[in-house]
Amino acid sequence: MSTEISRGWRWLGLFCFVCSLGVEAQTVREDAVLVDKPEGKPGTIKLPAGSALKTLRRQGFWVEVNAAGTIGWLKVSQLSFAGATGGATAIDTGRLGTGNIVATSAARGLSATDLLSGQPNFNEVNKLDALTAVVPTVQAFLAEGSVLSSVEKIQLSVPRPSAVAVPAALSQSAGTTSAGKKKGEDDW
Amino acid sequence: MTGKSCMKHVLGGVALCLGFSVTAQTDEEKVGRAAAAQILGAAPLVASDAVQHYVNVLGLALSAHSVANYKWRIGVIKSDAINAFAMPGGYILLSSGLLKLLETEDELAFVLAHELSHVGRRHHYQVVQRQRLADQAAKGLQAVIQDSDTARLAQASGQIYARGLDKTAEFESDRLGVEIMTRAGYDPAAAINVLEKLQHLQGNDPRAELLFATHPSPAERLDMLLQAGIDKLPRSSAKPNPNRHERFQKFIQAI
Repeated sequence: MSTEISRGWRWLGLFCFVCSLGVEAQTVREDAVLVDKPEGKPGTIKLPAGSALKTLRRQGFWVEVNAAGTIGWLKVSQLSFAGATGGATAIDTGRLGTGNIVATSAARGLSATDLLSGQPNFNEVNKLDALTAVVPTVQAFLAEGSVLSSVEKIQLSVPRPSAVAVPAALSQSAGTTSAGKKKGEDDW
Repeated sequence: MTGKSCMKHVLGGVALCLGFSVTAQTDEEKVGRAAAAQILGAAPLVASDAVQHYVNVLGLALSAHSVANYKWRIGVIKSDAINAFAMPGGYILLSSGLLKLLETEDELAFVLAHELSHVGRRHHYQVVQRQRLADQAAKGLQAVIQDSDTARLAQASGQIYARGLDKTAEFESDRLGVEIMTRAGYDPAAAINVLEKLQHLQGNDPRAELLFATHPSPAERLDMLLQAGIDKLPRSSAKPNPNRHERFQKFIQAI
């Protein structure tokens, strides 16, 4: 009896271990070299594109990873999130495609059904209309929180959807690549 | 043509242009107002002036760093659902459930800047316009507008929020939102925090069901921001401001 219980616990432990790997597993977007700390110098551990690793924690734009037992840091942009096949990075969103209304039992008051069949409340909109801030208040707010606007030019590039990284193993097995999308399907 | 007559024509043209502009703006606001009424019919505003004031001040601060010029009206609605809604004409609604998921003002700045971008890029208004064209024959939005039946317009608008936008519009709002918050002085890494928080929600979490049904996955959104170069943006080297932290905590507790 005790042996069976012990075996059960062992299986449960193994199951939890496998699950924990799945939850944190990511892949490397392009060939990368681990560094010893955020903004640190590159070490000798090279990771080819598509390598699987486990993310441990993030600090700003840096992520501490465990790559086959070796701990190091990578820039967050060196990791691929969308291509992961399991765990938290592959949430089943329930999305049925643009244009489909999803029947949902979402939280109180804000399900698709509520939005479609509910009665509009213009009294609440009147209250909302009165909720406007004024510039002097904003200036005091920013000063109090030491929110200093950036003097640098801030502009992100517009990524092309075809550049979305897909782990090599996934693209081979599925027989699809992001480059295979129809032209214009996801154009900016 | 005399100089005086010429000037009259020019002024007439300007007035005509302004008239079109005002008409377009008025229609956009009308659509936004009706859509806001529909959502507020499902979840009312949180009854706290301090809460509503906080999001409006932060929203106005952020809007100064976008090109969109609206009279912004931002509200926190009472619902444990995790979602936010941007409506034409400058209306934004944030659920208390979403706000309780956040930990810093910087994270809230990303959420608000994302919604500001939806409004500024007229994402929902364009859907309404397309739907009007498509539904001219049927008793759709066009007819509703002509009848000035705002209640029916509100119900028709509900469809847009139940369907969601094309995911490219979501990616664009993420990207523009990060630009706005960073220009304003907030930490762009907070955008990653927010997407990670959404990512860690269970896929079947009923609080986020509509959000996940109408948006690309958080992982996909994160990937697009990384490809856009979010981690090359400057981050403030200053230590976290205690006033900023304290007022955010008060705000969350008051919801």
